[in-house]
Amino acid sequence: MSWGGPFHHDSVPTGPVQVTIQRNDPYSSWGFRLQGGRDYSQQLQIKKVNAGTPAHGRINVGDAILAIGGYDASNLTHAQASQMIKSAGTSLELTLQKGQFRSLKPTGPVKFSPGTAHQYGY
Amino acid sequence: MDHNLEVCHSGYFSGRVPAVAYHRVPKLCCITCGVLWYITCGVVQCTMRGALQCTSKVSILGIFFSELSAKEGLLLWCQRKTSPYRNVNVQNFHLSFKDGLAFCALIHRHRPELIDYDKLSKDRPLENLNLAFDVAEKYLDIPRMLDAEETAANRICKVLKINQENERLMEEYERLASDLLEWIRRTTPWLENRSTDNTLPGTQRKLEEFRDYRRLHKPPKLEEKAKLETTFNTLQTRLRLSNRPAYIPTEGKMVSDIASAWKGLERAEKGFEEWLLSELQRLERLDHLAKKFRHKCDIHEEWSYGKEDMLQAQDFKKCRLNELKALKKKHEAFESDLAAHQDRVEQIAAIAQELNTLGYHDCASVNARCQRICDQWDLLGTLTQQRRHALDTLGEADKEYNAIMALVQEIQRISQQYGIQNALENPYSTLQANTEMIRQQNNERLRRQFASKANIVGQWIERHLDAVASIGMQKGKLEEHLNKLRGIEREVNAFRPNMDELEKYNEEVQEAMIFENKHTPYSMETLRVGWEQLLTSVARNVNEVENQGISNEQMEEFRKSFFHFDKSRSRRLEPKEFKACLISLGYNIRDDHQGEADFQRIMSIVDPNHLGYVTFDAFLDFMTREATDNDTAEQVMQSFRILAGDKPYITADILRRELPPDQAEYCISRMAPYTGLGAVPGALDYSSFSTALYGESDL
Repeated sequence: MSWGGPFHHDSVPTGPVQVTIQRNDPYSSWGFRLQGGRDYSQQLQIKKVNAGTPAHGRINVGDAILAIGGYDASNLTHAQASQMIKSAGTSLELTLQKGQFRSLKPTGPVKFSPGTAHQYGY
Repeated sequence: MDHNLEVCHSGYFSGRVPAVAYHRVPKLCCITCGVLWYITCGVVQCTMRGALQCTSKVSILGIFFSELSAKEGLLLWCQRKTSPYRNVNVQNFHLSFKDGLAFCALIHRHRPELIDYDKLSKDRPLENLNLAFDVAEKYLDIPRMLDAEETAANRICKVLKINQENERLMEEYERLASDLLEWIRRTTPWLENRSTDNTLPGTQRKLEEFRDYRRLHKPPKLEEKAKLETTFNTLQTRLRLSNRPAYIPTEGKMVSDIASAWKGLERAEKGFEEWLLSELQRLERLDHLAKKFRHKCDIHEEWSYGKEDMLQAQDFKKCRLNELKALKKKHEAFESDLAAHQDRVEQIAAIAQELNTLGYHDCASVNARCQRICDQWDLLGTLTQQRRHALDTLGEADKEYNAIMALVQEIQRISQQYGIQNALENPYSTLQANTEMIRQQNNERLRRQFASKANIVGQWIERHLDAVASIGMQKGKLEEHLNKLRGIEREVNAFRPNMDELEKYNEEVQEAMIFENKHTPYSMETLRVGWEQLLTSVARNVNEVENQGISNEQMEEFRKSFFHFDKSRSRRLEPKEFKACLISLGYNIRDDHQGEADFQRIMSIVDPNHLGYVTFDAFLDFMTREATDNDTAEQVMQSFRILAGDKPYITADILRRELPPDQAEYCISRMAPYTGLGAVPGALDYSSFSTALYGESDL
């Protein structure tokens, strides 16, 4: 299966990382947004992390989820993965491939301003 | 002043305020206004991307506030700034700004010369908003993010419309795919059925049916297939450009499934056509052979008619000797005639045998007739012998008889010498040679007729395929590209009669059993493929251009940037140039190890084959995808929040009031009940609905 996401995790230099997130109450939210899944031909990944939540500081936007609680996530649909994460109790163990790309993008409309390039030594 | 620049750089609003805003107009009011602008625009127009969730601390005009109070701080600042103005009462960031007076007041407070505030009226909100946005754009270098008319409800409508249209396209794709696959499933067995009634008319009927299939039944299906592919591509482009996850058709209805089913159909079709033509050839040969058989039988039967009676006649019993001798001679003549017919009967038997071997459909009657002739032949032989015996025993005048015999032999010799029998043997041979020549001439005419048309059509198709391919590479506005493609589309449609005409010529060629044509490199098969390719590539390109989703200005921005760095005018950028280009467009690529790794990842997208350069097309494609990536779940959620009056849930009543009926019902039927704190009866969860629109979920 090929992933539609712009960045394949194998192009990132570091290997997979194990992360455990804790929450006090199994019904409160972990504080992150999940994107992708087999049904979307897209790798499961972290779309957003909310400040001040259990996930904050543990995982980052752009991280790809390789496994959930040790279970290989590569063939999970979006619904299956979110169900597994929701019902993980108070401790969620994720195997991640770290990615940092999304922070690179300009967040507004792209405007050509060659002057700024010189700041970076070009 | 530096302090405020810091605000922009701190990450709080980086990117939202374009470089120009703080580089060229470092004026306190502008920066503040700009920041406010983005926040208020953001709140009112839902473009604020979680800015208020930032953790860094910001100070504006001496008001110090942390993340949670940022909004209130800004609100306080606005209240202080606008307090002297009539009709302005800033209580929040949406309704209070709706009439545009607050924006105008803020500008007037800092740059009174730009706006004649006293002339403004609360009753003309659109005018006020447009004035404020225009002035801000023109004098304060704060670009307008969205038109004033665009409200939260509009934003939701727009997003829902995209989803509804996408869902409609998905349904259409599924329906088209099912129909087409079903048709292929039904048609293929018919093409794979290689049996006929073994008669020429029956097989010709089958060829007619096949031609109907080719002419009438298949073309609309081919169009459906092209439409299916276009629908699929349109859908995927739309999904990609609107940030939605890709669409995967249900099991067995993938584009590849359709393509392979279609290929199977065409394979069956090709095999069917070849089989049918060779079957026709075989049957025509059989038919010809059967005709020959009947013809020979007719001649033979005509000759043999009445011969049994003649041989069994007792005429010699009561005649005189001279009469008897005449009868004897006559009988001898008959005997030699009979011997001469031996060959013919053998030929008839041989043809009958061949008809049997080749499986002629009406072997029964052939065999019966052949049997009748053979039986009669045996009988004639027996009767001839009996009559000869009778005549011999009766004869007494041998001498005379012998003399007469000599004469008979003489006559036979003479008749043979003049070749009378041979001349009668095949009265059709000269005529046959003649028809063969006419046939060959006709075939040649058909070949030339097909070839000259095929050469015109083939070259036309090639030329237009090239034209379609080159449009995407040309400089120019999307609008122009689209117009050119539409023009080609019209030309292609107008050209269709030529294809039909060619199909007709091809049928004539096939009917004449012509299989090779040295006058043209194009076969009907290759032309059909080329034609189909042209149709689909026009449709695909129109679709791509229509779905580009970027404005002409944006396109010009990209073009300007690319060619600024393309010092060698090669329409390619070296990696170093490309990096500078990206940075100039606002990309945050740092000058360190991490930045290099980031850049390499971008390179792997724009230069997947590691050629060491980036073409304009690859660049444009990359930027298009990146630039249109501004339609997010966050924005929709913010819009719903505004409709919901800042509550974490929304009610059906509000949705029905704010949205068009079909969209309101669309939301109501899909939104889950809100179960969080403070839920009222009937509260709906717009957050999970918003993320689901983009194939995401908050966990």
